[in-house]
Amino acid sequence: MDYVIQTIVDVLSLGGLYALLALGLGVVFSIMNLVNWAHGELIVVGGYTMYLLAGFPLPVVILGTVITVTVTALLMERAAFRPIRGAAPSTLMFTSFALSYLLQNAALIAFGSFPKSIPGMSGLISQVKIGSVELPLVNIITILVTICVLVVLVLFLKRSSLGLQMRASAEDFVTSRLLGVKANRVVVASFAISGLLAGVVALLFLGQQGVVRPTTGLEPLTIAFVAVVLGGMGNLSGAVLGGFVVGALQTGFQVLLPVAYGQYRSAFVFFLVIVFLLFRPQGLLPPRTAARRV
Amino acid sequence: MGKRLVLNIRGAYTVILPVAVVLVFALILSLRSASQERAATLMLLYVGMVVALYVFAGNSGILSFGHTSFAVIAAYMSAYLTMSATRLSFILPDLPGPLLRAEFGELPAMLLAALCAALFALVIGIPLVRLEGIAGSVATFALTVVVYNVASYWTTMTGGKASLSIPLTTSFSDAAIWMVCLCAIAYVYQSSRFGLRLRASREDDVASQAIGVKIRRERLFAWVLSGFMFGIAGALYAHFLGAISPDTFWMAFTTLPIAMLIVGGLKSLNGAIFGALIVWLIGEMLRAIEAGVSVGGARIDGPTGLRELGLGALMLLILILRPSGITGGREVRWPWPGPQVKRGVARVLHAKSVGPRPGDESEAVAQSPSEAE
Repeated sequence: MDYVIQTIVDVLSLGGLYALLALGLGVVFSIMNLVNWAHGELIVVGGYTMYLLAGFPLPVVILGTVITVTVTALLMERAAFRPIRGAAPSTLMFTSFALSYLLQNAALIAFGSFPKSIPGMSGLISQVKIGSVELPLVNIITILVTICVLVVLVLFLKRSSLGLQMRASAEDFVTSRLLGVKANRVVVASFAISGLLAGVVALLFLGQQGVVRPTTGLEPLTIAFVAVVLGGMGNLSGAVLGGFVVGALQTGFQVLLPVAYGQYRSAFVFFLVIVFLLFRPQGLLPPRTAARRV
Repeated sequence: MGKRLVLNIRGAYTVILPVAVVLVFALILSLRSASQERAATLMLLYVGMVVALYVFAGNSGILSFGHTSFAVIAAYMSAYLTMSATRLSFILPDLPGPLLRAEFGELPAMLLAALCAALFALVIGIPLVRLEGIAGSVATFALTVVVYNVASYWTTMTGGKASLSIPLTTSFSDAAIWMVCLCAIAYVYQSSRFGLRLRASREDDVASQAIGVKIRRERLFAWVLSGFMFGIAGALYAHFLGAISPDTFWMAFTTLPIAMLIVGGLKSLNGAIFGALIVWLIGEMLRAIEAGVSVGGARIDGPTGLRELGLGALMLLILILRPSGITGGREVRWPWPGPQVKRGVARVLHAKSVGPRPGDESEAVAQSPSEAE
């Protein structure tokens, strides 16, 4: 029984983290049709901020990290993506890809290729005992943070005017602009949300790993990528679902695969992704606009 | 017959010019010093890789991150086939018998290795060509991850993450000859009926289906051909390095040819060739600055990593200024139009031999964004 609870908590916390990652990627995609390769670099920026802020009290670290990452996301939008807004999705993707390459190597020059440690968050790894079950503190925090972020995000999207405009733009950008939605405002808002989410993920994910290096962004990016595609590109609930599915898959393989095959875990996950895409290329929850008219 | 030959040569100008530029450039470099010759060889290999990638990605419009897997398969296969049984049994004792014992010359080994890559492409391609757009890119990326993961841990076949030293056989002339061959194959393919059908599906899938193009079949053909070509380039690259490990063929290896193709212009063959040349050239210049240059007596030492940083910034700049790459998806054309091109049959022949004229293509491109909106 304890084992089952532990596994469920594992799935929920890993899935929650992945859902936040996927949401960060998905919210920009839904508005701009941009698959942002540089999303991983946002997390790296967060990691180095945490490294530089080591020694400050925790609230300063948290605020500083989230703010820096959000500002970076907004700068990205202004410098790289605004000039080519409306270009073909593949061009947008290549641009973000070039941006990611640039930032990665800037980090390499600034901080070197060796991992830098993030000492401030080591408290996260400790275990807490609830009843008879021992759980890592970080898992519980991750689940709580995920719930809070999701609730706030849903409230924002459903109840605020800007949220409504964002949902309308995700459905049909051109028509919503004709109806008076300001393009810059929704795009900037989507990047701000993406940056906020990346900041939160950086705190949770890198705080747990304890180190950051220039190539750290690749793993979270691939996971987010896969989760968004599984869920259905352009659909935010799909992104959340996709995140949880990937989390469950990874935990499942860890538990179910024989130890000898454990090292092939990512091969199994990505093989399943290929198989899944073959049968449902539009994802689990495709947005309504994805239906082909011809 | 004579007229047709003239027209064909004129059409082929689109590949002859960039290939000649690359060759002349490489030859000049190779005559300067041994280290420059090595650099030029690498440049030729990159041109080969980008052109091989272009055969699928450029003609189908689906960006592939999966070609790395063809290079991995061809590189290891070529390693098994060129090394003697005694040496192999020392390094990889558990290798299957036939692979262990087989020993071929450089050329047959490479062709066999590339055929293996093509076979793999065929098997994986039959389901994969159903996908397009971003789903296609993600699936090919997943393919690379799977192959990297398996290669890293399948110690029987690869020796795991450890580096495998293999014969250093790729010479400058090998690279040059194969670069020309790969470009020629790419040109012949793209101006053949198969290439034209695939390019039609890239511009408008519904319309191309309406005139009878079987998109999946055309894609599969290009995918397998492209896999074979990338296998050759990958095997040459492996024998150029002289030591390979799964990490040789990971992110940097995957992304550089893609970056070169995008910078040059995804949709044209000379974009692929010039893209490889230009990105390589800029990289080399930045590398030289990194090592230190003297400008008017003052010595400037660039920081390590400047090359990549500069490349990234430049790629970004090119994409912002020219979203469809430097060539914008156009081919270089024979600059002096002959009178016979304008007449009936000759015009049809011309269209057949060189494919759609640039004006037609740009119109199709100009229309698509408005449709998308």
